[in-house]
Amino acid sequence: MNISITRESSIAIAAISGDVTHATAPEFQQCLLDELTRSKNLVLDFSELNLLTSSGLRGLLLLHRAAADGDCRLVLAAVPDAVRDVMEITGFWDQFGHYPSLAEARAALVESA
Amino acid sequence: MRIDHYPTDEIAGWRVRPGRVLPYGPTLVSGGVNFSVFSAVARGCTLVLFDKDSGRLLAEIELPDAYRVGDVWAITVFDLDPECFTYGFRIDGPNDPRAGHRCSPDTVLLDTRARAITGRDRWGATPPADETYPYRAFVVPEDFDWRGDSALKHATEDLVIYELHVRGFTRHPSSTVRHPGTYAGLVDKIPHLLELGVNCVELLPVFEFDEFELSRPNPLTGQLNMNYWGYSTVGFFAPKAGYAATGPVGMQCDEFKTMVRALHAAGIEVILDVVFNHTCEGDQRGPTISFRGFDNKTYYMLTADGSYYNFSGCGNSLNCNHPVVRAMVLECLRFWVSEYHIDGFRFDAAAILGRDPWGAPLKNPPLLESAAADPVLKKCKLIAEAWDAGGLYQLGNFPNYGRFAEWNGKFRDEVRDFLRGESGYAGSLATRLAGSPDLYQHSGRGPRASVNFITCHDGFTLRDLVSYNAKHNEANDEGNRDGADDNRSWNCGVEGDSDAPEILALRRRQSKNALLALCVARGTPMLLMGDEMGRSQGGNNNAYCHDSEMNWLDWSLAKREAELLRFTRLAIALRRRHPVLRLPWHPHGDTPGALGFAEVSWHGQEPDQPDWGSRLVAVVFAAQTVAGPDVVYFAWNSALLPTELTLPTLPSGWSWALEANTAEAAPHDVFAASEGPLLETQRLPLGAHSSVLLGARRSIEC
Repeated sequence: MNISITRESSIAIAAISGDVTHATAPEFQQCLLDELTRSKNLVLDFSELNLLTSSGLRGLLLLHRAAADGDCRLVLAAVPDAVRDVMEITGFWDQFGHYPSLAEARAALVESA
Repeated sequence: MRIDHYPTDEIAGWRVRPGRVLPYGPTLVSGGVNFSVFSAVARGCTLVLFDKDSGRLLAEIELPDAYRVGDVWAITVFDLDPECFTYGFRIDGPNDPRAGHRCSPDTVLLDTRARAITGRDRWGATPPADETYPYRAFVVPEDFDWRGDSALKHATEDLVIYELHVRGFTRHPSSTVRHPGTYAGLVDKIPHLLELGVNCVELLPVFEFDEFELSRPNPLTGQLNMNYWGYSTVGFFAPKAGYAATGPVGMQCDEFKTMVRALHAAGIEVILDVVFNHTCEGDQRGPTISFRGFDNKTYYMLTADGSYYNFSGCGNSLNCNHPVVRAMVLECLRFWVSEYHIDGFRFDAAAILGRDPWGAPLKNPPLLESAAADPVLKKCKLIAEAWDAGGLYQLGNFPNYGRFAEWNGKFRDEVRDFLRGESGYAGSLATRLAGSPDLYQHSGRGPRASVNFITCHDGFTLRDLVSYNAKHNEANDEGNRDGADDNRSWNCGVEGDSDAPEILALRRRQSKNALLALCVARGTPMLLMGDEMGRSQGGNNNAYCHDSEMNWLDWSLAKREAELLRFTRLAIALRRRHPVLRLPWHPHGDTPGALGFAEVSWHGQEPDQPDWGSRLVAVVFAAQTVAGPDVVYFAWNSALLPTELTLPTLPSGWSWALEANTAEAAPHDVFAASEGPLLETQRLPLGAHSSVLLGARRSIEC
């Protein structure tokens, strides 16, 4: 798994590639929790995401809660169909703000920032 | 971080330590996994780890004797990634069948407490020819975002139960759900359940089972006859992966919980059909998968020479009243209630649960007593199929401790006999409508003890009950010998398919009669999946082995049978708006009800003149409710000829309003609240094979 973060004026974009699994979820969580202390708006760009397992989903949910607790906005962008499908079936989808593309996510967050 | 959470040894290349004894089974701990299993006879216990993706053996970790507490072997293994391994156990113990011991150290056994099982991840995927260990357990996160989900606590008498098979419910292409035949698919059909008005689903077995068990080619269709129903448990603590869209990625537990959460959000309770009477291991000819290898003598009822008692008809009988097995069953029930938010259980062949280790019926079976009193299970619905295949028939006498309701087989039989026009059943029908006081009054149970049904997975569907005089199970490849013979069905004149409009109309009317009676009777009504739209199994009354259109609900029936669907929906609605039909006590003829009527009064063609030798039953149920008097008149004529009724008199200012009349064509066969016409006269014609329900309504403004 690889996370690369670009920070723009009001939002940060974290591009996550590879697999978020039991092994990599702690790093995923910690890195993005850190980012939430710096940026009020965070887009998770999933376009290069390959796999999100049960542990990964839980890490994502915890991030979502941390964002809400800290009055931050966290949204998902470009979620691959297979990942979205699993998220919907296992009950992890409907609480997330999500956008089909990074551009739309960025636009939405910038607008309301 | 616990002060005792660090490795103390290295075995087979893995850092380990003595594990935590409780809870049994696998537990995720920080940096590793804890395992705990027990056996009264094991001399040695080895944890066997496999790579999850390749199945390749990772390690055989022999547990030191020091890791053993009593009969329990527990070990914590560090650096284990739960997403990367599966596991099992080898138990080194006695193999002396006559003494009841059948340990098999060469076999890797499935953990009896496995929470998730791989091996049948995709329903019907052909197992590899060289499959040595079909079932391997793996470890899943047990936390879940329930979002405040809590028990719905529907009163038993308010339940309308819908018995369904998870795969059969949405597998048919006409279901148009995204993931047919799955828990996720069921969620997509919640709107149908809501519209129908049911508030409880009873799921045929969802614990992991092997659909390939006893599978064989079907001579008629060329397909494979399989273990479709699933009454043969492999793992009591694991939801079947093959019913999950995410089975192939091992997320069946989350998917199942999501389904429960969605059902609860829609106000629908979830009851599981559970099979504690036997396991998938069969008798001595069956495979050793788990229980037999851990501790055969504890888990199974055995004869003096070590053979298997077979009260289940399926090869073995789980030794439910042995203290250790009893504890496992309770642990299982508690697990599903606390971890999966299940609302109740229907116990298959429950009479076995009251037998002692040698098969003798117990007067005070510890398992049933414990289940009835258990704090975690206190609000659960507990329903017993109060018989088994060993001849123990306990309807009305099931050791219930005031908690277990029963599938009322007498309701099914006697209502069917009345439905098909048999003579001599008027009195029986009356007793069933009143909530079966003959069975449940003596113990003070009331109608809450009675789950009323006319059809269920065992036997004909409702459509087939009115279309066939005899069973047609040739496709089961048992020479049509299997399945019940006393179906008490009537084909309405032609056996099987017919185009004749009058036959079809009669069948539809008969279906409505059955559904209406089910909704009127005191007790808890249960419908079979698809009966609301005339689902047929082609006359097969024991369709346990067909993974095919025979069993899959064809959703196009909703359109073709729109009239029946509407009738079912409004009959259920009728029950909901008449609390008098749902009172949880047996009505008495000498207790005042409302509007001058007793709680119950029986009538015939004339008021207060029932003719118990006839094929006409007419009754008034009356009660004062919070919303005022609730008085209904129900009459059912199962004769070949129409009749005419004089209605009982209501006080001035009140009239009878028509709410259902199966003799009429839609939309006059059933009415939504307050929409039915007020009857102007005291005379009411009632057609042949027809039933009516009237409600007392104020006819002038007061």
